[in-house]
Amino acid sequence: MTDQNEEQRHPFLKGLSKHRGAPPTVMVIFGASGDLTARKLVPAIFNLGVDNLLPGEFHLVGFGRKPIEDDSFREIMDGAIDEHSRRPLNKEIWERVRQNMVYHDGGYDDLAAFKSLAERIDQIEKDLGRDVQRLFYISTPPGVFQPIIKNLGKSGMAKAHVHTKLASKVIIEKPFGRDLDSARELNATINSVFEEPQVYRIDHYLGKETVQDLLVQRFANSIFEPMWNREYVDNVQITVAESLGVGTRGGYYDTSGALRDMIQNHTMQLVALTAMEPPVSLDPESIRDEKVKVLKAIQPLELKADGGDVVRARYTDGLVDGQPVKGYKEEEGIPYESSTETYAALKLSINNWRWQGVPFYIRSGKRMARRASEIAIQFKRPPGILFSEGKKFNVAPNTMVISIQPDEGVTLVMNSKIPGLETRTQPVKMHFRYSTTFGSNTPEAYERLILDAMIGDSTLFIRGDETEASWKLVTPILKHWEECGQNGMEEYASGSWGPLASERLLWEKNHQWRRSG
Amino acid sequence: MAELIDALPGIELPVGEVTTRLATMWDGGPMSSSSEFRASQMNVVLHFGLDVTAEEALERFETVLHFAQRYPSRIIVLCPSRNEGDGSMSAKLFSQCYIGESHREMCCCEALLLGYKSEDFGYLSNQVSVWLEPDLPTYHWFSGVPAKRIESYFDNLLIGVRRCVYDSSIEADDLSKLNWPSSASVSDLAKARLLPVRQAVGQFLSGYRIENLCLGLKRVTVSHCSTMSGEGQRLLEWIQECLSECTKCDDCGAKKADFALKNCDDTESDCSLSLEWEYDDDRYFKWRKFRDGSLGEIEASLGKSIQTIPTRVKPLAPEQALSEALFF
Repeated sequence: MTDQNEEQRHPFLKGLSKHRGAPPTVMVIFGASGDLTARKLVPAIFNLGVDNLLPGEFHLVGFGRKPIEDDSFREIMDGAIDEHSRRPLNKEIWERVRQNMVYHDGGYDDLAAFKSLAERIDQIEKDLGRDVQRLFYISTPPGVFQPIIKNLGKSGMAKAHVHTKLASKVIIEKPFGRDLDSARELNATINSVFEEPQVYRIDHYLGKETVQDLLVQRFANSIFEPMWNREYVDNVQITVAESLGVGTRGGYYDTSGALRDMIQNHTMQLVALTAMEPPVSLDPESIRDEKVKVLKAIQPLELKADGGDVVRARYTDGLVDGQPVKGYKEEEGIPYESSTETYAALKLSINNWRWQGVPFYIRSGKRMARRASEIAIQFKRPPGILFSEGKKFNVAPNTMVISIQPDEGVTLVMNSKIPGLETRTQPVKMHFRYSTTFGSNTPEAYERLILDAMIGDSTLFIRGDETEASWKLVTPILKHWEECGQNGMEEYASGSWGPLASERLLWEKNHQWRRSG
Repeated sequence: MAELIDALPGIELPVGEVTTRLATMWDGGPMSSSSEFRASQMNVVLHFGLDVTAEEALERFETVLHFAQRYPSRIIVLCPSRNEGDGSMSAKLFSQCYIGESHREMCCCEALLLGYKSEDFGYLSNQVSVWLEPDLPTYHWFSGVPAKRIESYFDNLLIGVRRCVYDSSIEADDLSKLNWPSSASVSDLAKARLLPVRQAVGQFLSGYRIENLCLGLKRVTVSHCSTMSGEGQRLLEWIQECLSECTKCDDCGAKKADFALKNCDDTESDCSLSLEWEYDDDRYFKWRKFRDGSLGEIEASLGKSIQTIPTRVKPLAPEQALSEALFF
């Protein structure tokens, strides 16, 4: 995010954007035959190649348990680009990566497979006659995170070129643990092998343009920051809604749920970016320090089976996009006795100077009315002296809505006079849409994040203490729900905006959820 | 002889009506909502000289229009006139909506084309200021405007302009030598077009310590075809600038090396732009861009072995080069 190290850059990279100077890299993807590799990672690498952002020397090694021939792996990845890339497959460009792409099969707990991988990379380095960076992307089920990390340590790959700019780096996909204890255990394992600056915990939400733009909106516009506090903000609503159900991932989802799957990571990151204090600079550590501070300032939640600061629910059958869909318990792979939530809503209180008394409402769920992720800052109403006559004046609270998906943009709701002889008011919206203003072919989050890791910029990644601060808040809820079993589990019809209990969460302060989108 | 403004598209209108027409041109009826898609981010002034041909003017006008699809702009095109006349200006208005892949991507922009008496630049600044979008940055692209004329705009037309651009591969005068009010706010499109080259060469060379690259360096030669003279010059300057950053070797090769620029049109080589470094031992570094296509090649012996690496140096589209020159 910052070019402050321009002075220290190699002379032949000065003046080029920092993203145009990635060092020679061998990238290893663990879980290479998995869905994420095909849908996101390899298309992202292809698009980086199209934009000429890959280093001159770039090698890609797919690592997986399933034996696959190199040629077959290349063909599978060709198909993945064809199907999932935002730009069509350009064979001439892709060939440069393709010819340096191999598949390495082995078990994640098989040290010999890691040693032979290390030898393979050493040989690439020897053939090139130059040092290369090793970038490991762990895109596997969480159960094998620890064996992979341990074997990266034992095989010596984790320490390659350590303390230089070519030091090995590891990108880890969520979930970073299942609760506070397991997150601490995972962090301890990671930090026994890698130093923290080598670790890149990925949350793809942070790679989205609007999420990055949030810092710009807040700190580069002097009209918002003075109002970004308890004096002017009435409440903040963060929604991460999906219209899809669990689909074929029922078995996995039932061990996770909305709180672990969305709230603990994506939503809490949005809370942190919305509520944090201005960092002293844009360097990664300054930003992450502020995020941790605000996460630590969130008060423990009041937990009750009925009422309190938390609501959980699961979807029943209903209509989505006009089509009937089945309820969660009828989905494939869901046990009859399941007590997993597909929806969670929380009322957070941040106990610091800026936010005391301002509720942060967050919610996330599956099978909701529409897919929408947004942050809505609702400002306090002006004194009702002038425009308080009910029917004549329709005065809405000023609201700033930062939309993250499906359309990225910012909307400001203001009140305006309706043209005419009489003074009547009506809320109007001012829209800024990324796709209209800047064109729609913007990089996918994974492109930005892979490249950032490659060049060693950790700004948009999550630090170990951030994950622990977030788990510290969420783990008591998980324990409480475990104790309650089915007690307190609400239901909502597929295609709705959640259960009524979620609305009640806001009534106490006379608030209501805004209709997202 | 036909006037330049006549060669460009647009609807003629009296200059006195421009302000009103600009203000109302996107006001549609209830069925039309084009104004929703019009969100100017900047002003771009495309400023032609008298000797620019109709084809060249049209080509550059289209470049600005393509640019405006990505960065919605108020475009003002200044076309000097050869007619003596009474000094009156003429005007044309052009508008375009770019639809994109879906209506969500639609964006609209307008271009105001102004014909003005070439000698009468005293009032030009005032007139142009009337039609610039206020509060938005202004960029000025000079094409074929003589150096002397540009200098006369320093105190009027160019005040407050965020950046001026020109193309050294085309301009007859060396505009880099002008005493610009702020050299940091001047860009050369030829340098902007070098971006993929700087990227490919820079990424490769950054793998070596600068001291090692300088040690024993005897000669650096940049060869270019005649249509890439600006690129050749800027490439050589860039190499010199990078090598001059070697601070640890006061007496190293980079300080003594010859830096040469040559035209390669006469040779039978396939390349349009190339770079060659020679050392006092058996090391070398060569890069070349092939005349056709977007491929180039690095051949080097700087470390343990000889390396031959294909590099992708896909030329930037004209509008991409323009955005690179305007913003970076």
